Amino acid sequence: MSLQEICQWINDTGPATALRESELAFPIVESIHVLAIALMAGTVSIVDLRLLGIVLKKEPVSQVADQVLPLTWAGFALMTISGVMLSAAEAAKLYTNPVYRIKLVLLVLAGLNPLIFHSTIYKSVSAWGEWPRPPARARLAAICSLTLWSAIIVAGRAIAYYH
Amino acid sequence: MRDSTSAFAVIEMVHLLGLAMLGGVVLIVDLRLLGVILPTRPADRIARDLAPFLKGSLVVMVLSGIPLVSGEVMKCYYNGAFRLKMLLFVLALTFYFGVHKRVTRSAFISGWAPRVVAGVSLGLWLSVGVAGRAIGFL
Repeated sequence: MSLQEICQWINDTGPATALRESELAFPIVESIHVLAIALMAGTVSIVDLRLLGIVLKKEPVSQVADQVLPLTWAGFALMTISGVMLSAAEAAKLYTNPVYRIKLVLLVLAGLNPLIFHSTIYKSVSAWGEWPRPPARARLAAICSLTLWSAIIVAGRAIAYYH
Repeated sequence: MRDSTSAFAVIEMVHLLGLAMLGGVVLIVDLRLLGVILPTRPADRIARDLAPFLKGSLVVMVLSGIPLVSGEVMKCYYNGAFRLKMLLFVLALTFYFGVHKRVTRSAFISGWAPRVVAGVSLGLWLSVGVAGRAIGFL
């Protein structure tokens, strides 16, 4: 079975068809998806701006991260669940959409960024967490995160314009 | 504007990026006022620190919102969700500059007042967002 056939099969399953053809459920899931992205990208950008030394300079990085990132994860979970539902409903169409592919690659990169960040420079946060302007490697991770999430929002919106 | 798909799309993207920023700032400030996050850090300082980003994202949203509307003025005029959104937006703005800012600026932030203000603020901004998304579906 090729990937295209798998997408077609997902597209034709009962739940995917029901969601695609629903006049109420589809817009609701789509609205949840948009709000979840705002929740996730909005909260993570606060942490990124703290890492860049732009906002909340007097609050320790570890406290901002510990307190704000659970919200980011909640947004991420909502975004993923609603995103998988929307993807399944339109699987056949999305298979050929170049922007959708770009978005998936961007999502993988956006996921790798915090993995690298937390397993490297963030390990020594107790040493620099109180600095108004964190070390260059932390600032780099913040710039990557801001860039990637902005690009994901842009790509997500662009999907609808490619048929 | 209405005829140019790419210009409409680009401005819509800017509008969405502004939404993410605004949503993030509102959430952090209001959840702090509710005592849910960063309870040991001063709420007035957090609110003051993030205020430029709240106002900045508002400016981005209004500046990108105007061309989006002007391309479809007549469609929007008859759109119930659009009318509701504008009403909620004016309410949210009035509430922020009239009440919210005063509460977070006062030196003494405690008791039930900041919690009520934060709850109302979250409710208003969330409704603006939901009504905004609904415009496209009506």
